[in-house]
Parts: sequence; structure tokens; C-alpha cells
Amino acid sequence: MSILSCRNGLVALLAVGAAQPVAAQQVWAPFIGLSSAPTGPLSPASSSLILAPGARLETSRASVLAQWGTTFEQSTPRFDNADLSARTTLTRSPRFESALTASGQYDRGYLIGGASSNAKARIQVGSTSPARGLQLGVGVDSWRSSTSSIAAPATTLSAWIRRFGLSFSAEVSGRQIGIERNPGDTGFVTVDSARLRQMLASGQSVDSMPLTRIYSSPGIRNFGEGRFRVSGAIMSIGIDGEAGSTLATGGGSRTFGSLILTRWLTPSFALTGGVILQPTVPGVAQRRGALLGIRLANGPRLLPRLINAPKPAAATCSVRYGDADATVEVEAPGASHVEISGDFTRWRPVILERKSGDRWAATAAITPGVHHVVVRVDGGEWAPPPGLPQAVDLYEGTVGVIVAPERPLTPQH
Amino acid sequence: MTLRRFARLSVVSTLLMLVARDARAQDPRLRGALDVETLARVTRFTDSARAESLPTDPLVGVALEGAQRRAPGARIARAVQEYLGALRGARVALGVEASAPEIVSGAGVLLAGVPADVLKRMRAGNPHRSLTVPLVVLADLVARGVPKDTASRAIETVARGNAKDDDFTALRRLVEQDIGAGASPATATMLRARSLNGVVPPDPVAPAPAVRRP
Repeated sequence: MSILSCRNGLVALLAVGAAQPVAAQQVWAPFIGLSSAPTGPLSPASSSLILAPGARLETSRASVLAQWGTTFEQSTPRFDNADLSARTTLTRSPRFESALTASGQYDRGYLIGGASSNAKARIQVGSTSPARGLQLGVGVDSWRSSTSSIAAPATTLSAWIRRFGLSFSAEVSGRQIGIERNPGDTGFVTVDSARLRQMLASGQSVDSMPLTRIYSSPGIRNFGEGRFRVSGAIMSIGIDGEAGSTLATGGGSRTFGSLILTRWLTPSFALTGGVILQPTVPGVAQRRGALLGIRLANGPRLLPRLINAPKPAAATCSVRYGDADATVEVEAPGASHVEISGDFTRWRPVILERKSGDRWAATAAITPGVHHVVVRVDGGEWAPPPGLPQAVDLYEGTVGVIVAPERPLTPQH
Repeated sequence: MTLRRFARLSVVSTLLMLVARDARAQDPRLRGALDVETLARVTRFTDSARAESLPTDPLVGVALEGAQRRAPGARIARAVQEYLGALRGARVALGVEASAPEIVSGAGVLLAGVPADVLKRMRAGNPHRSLTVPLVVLADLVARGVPKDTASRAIETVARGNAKDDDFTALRRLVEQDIGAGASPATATMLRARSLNGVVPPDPVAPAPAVRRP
């Protein structure tokens, strides 16, 4: 089925990004999205305009992603939903790290019960390798709606492996919650969307809509969530996919997922499209739709999600000199794309080509003498290339130094 | 031609010549990257550098880096001015015969906070060899947290032993490895420098508590 013929409506997405480094070790990437999406399960055939700005901040230790959506229905703006996620490294040794992850979502809601929000926080401990690893997290999950709020301790096991420029990650989390008999507990009730539409069509009040409790008896319930993600790029096509399911003893499971492909036609212009199935939490109406649009970027091609794993980084860097140019080679295990920037590129990012496995290279014209260069992996922070001499930068950072000789020499490390 | 017309033509010609001279002085790489005021200030600095036979490309690079980082114009101009000062200081310390790469690497050393006297001593001890790589390595050691006087002594020690550029490159690599293995930057530097000169056997540096950069 093509995206254009998707039953739930065509969605046009326009995302404009303007990224800029705040300091040498930071990347600040604001963006704005303009889309059209189905209004909700009550009227899947109609669409509304959605304005969705956001921003992503990357530092050497932390990543923060914030997005929110405003729906325009009959020219009236209405705050619709918001997402905030962050990951920061607390302690780090060569083999192990501890990290704090936190995420929160707000959804205005389409059905009975109104707005709802959820938040998750974990302290994780595990391996530091961006190529493959495992981390165990403990923390708290919480939900809040207009009539109830729940918080419960939770654990998460996350694993990742990076191959062929893609990051595959799996995450399993579990929590235990005591269910009480509370008719207003919107987190654990559901409605019949088809019947609701019939009621609306016949002019009946939505207040009389009967609720169906997922759990008919009180008691302790175990909840679980499995999530599989793939992110990265193959042959200049960015891939960002997610699929998962929430499970619960006694029923009430839901599936969710999304797949978004991005084809960069130039370094700053891309076509993007995909499909999406929401939500990820109980109590919020399910939405399905397709995305199709363009993406403009004036900076790093940051992924639209934070990957819950240590970031890929350049491991080694070497420079080979030709008659009038230099070839910079970078080894970056698990990287999706690698860029360099330096005075010999007029400080404009140059995308390296993948040569083999984890090795990337680019050739640029260079004059004999001393030059400064920095490297960036997967849109993260700019950093001096490892293996090269470093120097203090006049803009509060550190840069790598290469000394281009008067004539070709052996590789410099 | 009337006197009035001649005067008018003279004024126009003079103005055109001034504009053309400004256009020649401005580096084409900077046009469009900087606002008019910043471009004018940076151009004055590059003109000064050119007049003093100092390398101008690094100054243009500093301005372009600032523009790429979206730094304010005043910040860019200050950075270029600071770099020009470092270039001047390096040339004075290294001598008028110093090559452009030596001056640039010497400026990097001065910007790292190393006194100009170190450059003078290195030049006096090595009047005929290129100091580009030793100076780059010296700036690198300081950037990695080696105390300035320790790094300076180490580089001067190695330079006195008729070391080649590859020896300095090896010193830098070994110190980087030792610091990564947990050694103190100062200890790693001194031991590796002395082992390169044959003062002590090239034993691996024993891990010691790492010293954080200030």
C-alpha cells in the first residue's frame, strides 16, 4: 500500500531545521514541522493542520529532545501534545557507565477523560560500547489524567547493536500496579470508537458513552512493554523505525509503531515519508496515519528520537597527504554518518564517505601549513579527532591540528 | 570639458578607486559570511597582518569558524584580534626568519598560555631546524592537561637531543596513551620525554591518579 493511498489520510510534513553549535562541544538544533493528520478516531476521514516545533540539544554528556504539537481546527489553535526526552551520562569508565534517562509525554486526548500525561525516569548501569551493549535500569513510571494518577517502580533492560550504519535496540520494561475499583480511572478504561461515532452522528451526548473497564476486579497487575527500534542510514536513506507492544496480565495489550524514511537529496534537503501507529500508553485514543513531506536542514542530521545507548564516536583518525589535498580517514564504530569541518573546508561540514566497515574518508584541498579540524559523528557534538594533536580553540573549545607538509609524506597519526 | 565636469569626474573616480581598493582588500571567502561592520574590522586585521608579512589565512579561518558557529560579530572580531596578537608574539619570539607554519604553531602555543620565552629558548637552541611539529606537540600537551612548565621543559629536553619530527609525534602519541591508561599527564610527559632522550629506560609508565584539566 502506498503512502498516498493510505486510508486514514494523506499527511504532508514540512520540517525546517536550523542547527547551530552553541559552543565547541554543543549542538543546538531547533526545527519546526507542518503536517496534516487525521483528527482522531472519531472522524478518521477528516484532517487538521498540525504545527509541531521542537528542538534537540546535544552536548558531550547529554542529549535533550523536545517536541510539541498545536492543532488548528477551523483556524483555532489548540495545544495538542508534547514530548520531552533526555539522556545524560552520570559516571563513565572505559567499560561501564551510569546514565539517567527521563521522558515525558502529554496528550490532550480525544475521548472521555481528557488530557493525560505520563513520565518515566531510569538510572541505568551497563556497558559503554556504542557498537553493542546491555544496560539495566531502575526507576519510576507514572501516569496522570484528569481523574487519577498512578506511580509505580519499574525496571528496564535495554540492549543495542550497531551494524551497517544502523542501530538496532530492544527494550523490555516491567512494572507492578495495584488496580482499584475506580470508575473514573481513565487509565484503565476503553471505549468503542465505532459506537461513539454513531452516537455523535445521531446527535447524542458523549457523556452518556458507556465505559468498558479493562480490569473487572481489583488487585495487583503486572504490566510490561517491549520495544524494538532501528535507526540510522543505508545508502543515503535515513531510517527511523519503532515497533512494540504493551502487555498486561488480564488483557489490555496495545501495539504501537512507526517507520519514517528520509532521503537526503542534498546536504540540506530531504524527502521524508512513513507510517505511524499511536499511542504507546493506555487510555489515549489510537491514531493511525501516514507522513509525506520534505525536510530542510542547515546543520547536523539529528535523528528524531534519542537512542537509549552510548553515542557512537570517532575512535581513530589519520590523515594522508597528496600533492595538493589531504584525505582524512576516521574510524567510527556503529556510526551512521561522519562529518569533518576545518579551516580548509571554510569550517563548513563535509560528509565523509563510508569506505569499509567502520572506516570513513573524505578528501579536501589543503595548503601546506598548520590547520585546525573537528569531527562529528551522527550529528552529535563536534570534537577534536582522536589521534591528532589538539589545540585550544578561540571559541571555547578544543580542535584537532594537522600539519600539511610541503610535499607528500607518510600518514600522520 | 568644463571645470565643473572635470571636478565631478575626479570625485567619482576617487570614490570608485576607494571602493575598488576596499573590494580588493576584503578576502572573498569572508564576503557573505560576516556582517558589514565585522567584515570591515576583520579586514583591517588581515590587512595589518599582510603588511607585517604575517600569514593571513589563519585569521580568515578564525573569522569563518566564528561565522560558522554563529558567534556575534564582536566576538569574531575579538578572536581575530587575539589571534593576530599571538601571531605577532610568535614571530617576535621565533625571529623574522620563522616560516609561516612555525609562526602559526607558535601562536597556538602562546594561545595555550605558554610564555613567549619558551619559544625564544627553543629557537635559540634550534636555529636551523623547523619548530613547527615540536610547537604543535607542545600546544597539544598543554591542551591535554600537562602543566605548561612541565610540557615546555619536556619539549625543550627532547629538542636538545636532536630529535626528529617523528620523535615528537611519537612522544605525543605515547603521552596520550599513558593519560588514557590513567597516568598523570605531568608524570607521563616527563618520563616519556626522558626515555626518548635515553636518560631513563623506556619502561611503561605506571598508572597514577589522573590530573583533571582546569
